Amino acid sequence: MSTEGHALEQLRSAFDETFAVPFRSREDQESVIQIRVGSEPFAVRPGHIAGLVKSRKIVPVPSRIPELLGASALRGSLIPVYDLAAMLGIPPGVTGPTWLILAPGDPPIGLAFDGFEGRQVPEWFSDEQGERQYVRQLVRIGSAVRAVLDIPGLAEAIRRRAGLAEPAKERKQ
Amino acid sequence: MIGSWTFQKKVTAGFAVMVGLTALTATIAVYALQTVVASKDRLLGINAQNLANAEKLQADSNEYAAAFRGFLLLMQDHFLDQRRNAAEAFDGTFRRLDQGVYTPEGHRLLNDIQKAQAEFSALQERIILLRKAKNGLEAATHVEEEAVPRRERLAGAIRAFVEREQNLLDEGKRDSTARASMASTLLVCLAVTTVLFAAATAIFLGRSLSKQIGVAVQHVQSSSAELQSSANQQSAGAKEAATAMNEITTTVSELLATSRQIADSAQQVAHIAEDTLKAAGRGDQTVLQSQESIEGIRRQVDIVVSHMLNLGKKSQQIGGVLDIINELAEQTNILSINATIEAAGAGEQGKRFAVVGDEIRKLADRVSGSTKEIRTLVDEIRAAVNTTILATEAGSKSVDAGLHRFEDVTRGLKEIAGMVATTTQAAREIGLSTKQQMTAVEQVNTAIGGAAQATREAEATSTQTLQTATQLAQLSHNLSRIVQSRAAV
Repeated sequence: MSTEGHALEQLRSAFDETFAVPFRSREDQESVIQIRVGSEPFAVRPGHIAGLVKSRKIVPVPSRIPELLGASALRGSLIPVYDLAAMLGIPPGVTGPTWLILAPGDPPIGLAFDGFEGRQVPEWFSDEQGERQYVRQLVRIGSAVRAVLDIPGLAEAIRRRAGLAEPAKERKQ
Repeated sequence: MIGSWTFQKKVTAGFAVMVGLTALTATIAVYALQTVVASKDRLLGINAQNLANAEKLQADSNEYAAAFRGFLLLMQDHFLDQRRNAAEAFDGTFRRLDQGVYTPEGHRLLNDIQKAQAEFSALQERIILLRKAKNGLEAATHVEEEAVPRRERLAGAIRAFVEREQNLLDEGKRDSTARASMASTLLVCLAVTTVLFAAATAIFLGRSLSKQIGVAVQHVQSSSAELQSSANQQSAGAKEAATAMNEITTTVSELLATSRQIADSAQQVAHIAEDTLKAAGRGDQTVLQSQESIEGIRRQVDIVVSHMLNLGKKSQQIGGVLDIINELAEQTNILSINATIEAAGAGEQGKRFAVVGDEIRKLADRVSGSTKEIRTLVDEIRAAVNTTILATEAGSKSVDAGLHRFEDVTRGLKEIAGMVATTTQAAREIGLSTKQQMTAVEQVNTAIGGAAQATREAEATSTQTLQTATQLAQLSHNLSRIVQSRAAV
């Protein structure tokens, strides 16, 4: 059997095994989204965001908040877009942010970052908070340890600075 | 000035002076001898004769007186004859004396004698006359008594004359002795002077000769040393020249052998050039055939290039399709993530949808991975195509260059054919020239043999010169030692 034929067979087997495993056995296998802010890698829990969008046009608007990049149209509504690197105090990337993470809310808040590096299931979680602000947990992916960003905390901080703060809600962990 | 004279001139001058001194000595000796002889002659010839004549005169006078007295006593006539003979003898002696006397004093004494003789003779004549007369004896005796003083005066005059002559004789003896002594003294002085001068001349000539010979010997020694050095250098040079001539002879022999080899090689070159000319003709035909084949290859290469360019375009299209697929996979991935997020917000019912979304994400990831692999393969194909196109174009250019090269080769072969013909002619000329060169080299070899013989003879001559120079140096050393030892003595 050729190499291509063997790979095709493995692909078919993996696809078929997907439907052979019970759904319950997957509950504990929560994955994380790997992103790159500036030149630093981070992880984001999917349950903390409302969506992932690429290459939206951002219209600059005047604001007293320097981290505000502008406004962008999403699904028929305008959302504010903030520079995640500026929020975290990281030097900006060379090409500029091209991806958006949507923080839950009404309206949702767009957090622009530089690169999307896929979705992986981490080996373990740690509740140790890093030295950097807005980092709640640490995960190991392969041989690398990455910080998990606190997206709800970032959204809450943005809303406080914009004067849209709501009473604090208990966030689902 | 004498220092600059030659030795011959000095010897000649010395001997001339010696001869002059000897001649002067001889002249003085002859003069002295003649003077002594003259003095002796005068002494013996005149004074002694005068003295003898004076004594004879005295004897004649005595005989004259005796004859007179005999006549007086005996009255015999033969006494008168005897007296007359005595008187003649007296006169003869007197005349001889008068002729021999050369001094005024002598003449005065002779005059006295003559006067006394005349008076005495006159008295005798008177007495004889008296004697011849009567009573003559007494008268004669009486007169005799008168005659005695006259006779004594005559005797005294004669004695005075005799004494005078005796004195003259003694004076002549003393004068002769003095002249002989003076001549002896002068001769002794001249002899001493001559001896001293001869000794001085001998010392001077000896020293001068030693000095000049010493200087000459030193020059000879220096010259012999230089000659020895030159002979050594000449000998060494002759040996080196002999060695060089041997090497040259060997080299010329090798050159002769090489010339023979060149002549053989030139002949072989001529044969090979003829073969090369034939091969060049065949090569021309082969090149024409190869040129046609290469033109066919060129056409095939053009076709290959066209196909490879088409393959590159197809690969680019595949890349475009892959971009679309990749974009679709990425969007599918985003959709799956958003679906998972939406499913998480849908609670328990959304979990199954989340599983489906996750699988869709996995498929999208695999599609993305596959598209990356395909892109890698397509990029490799495009790179290979580009490389192939470049290589093919380079091959096409090489083919074009090859065609031009073949044209050049064709021209070159024609030129080679012409050159080979020229080479053949040149090889023949080289062979002929080499034979002439061989003859010349053989002549040179013979000449060098003669030169080598001359060099060996020069070496022998220089060796002989060296020996002669060494002997000359030894001789000059010996001569210098002899001269120095004599000079030291």
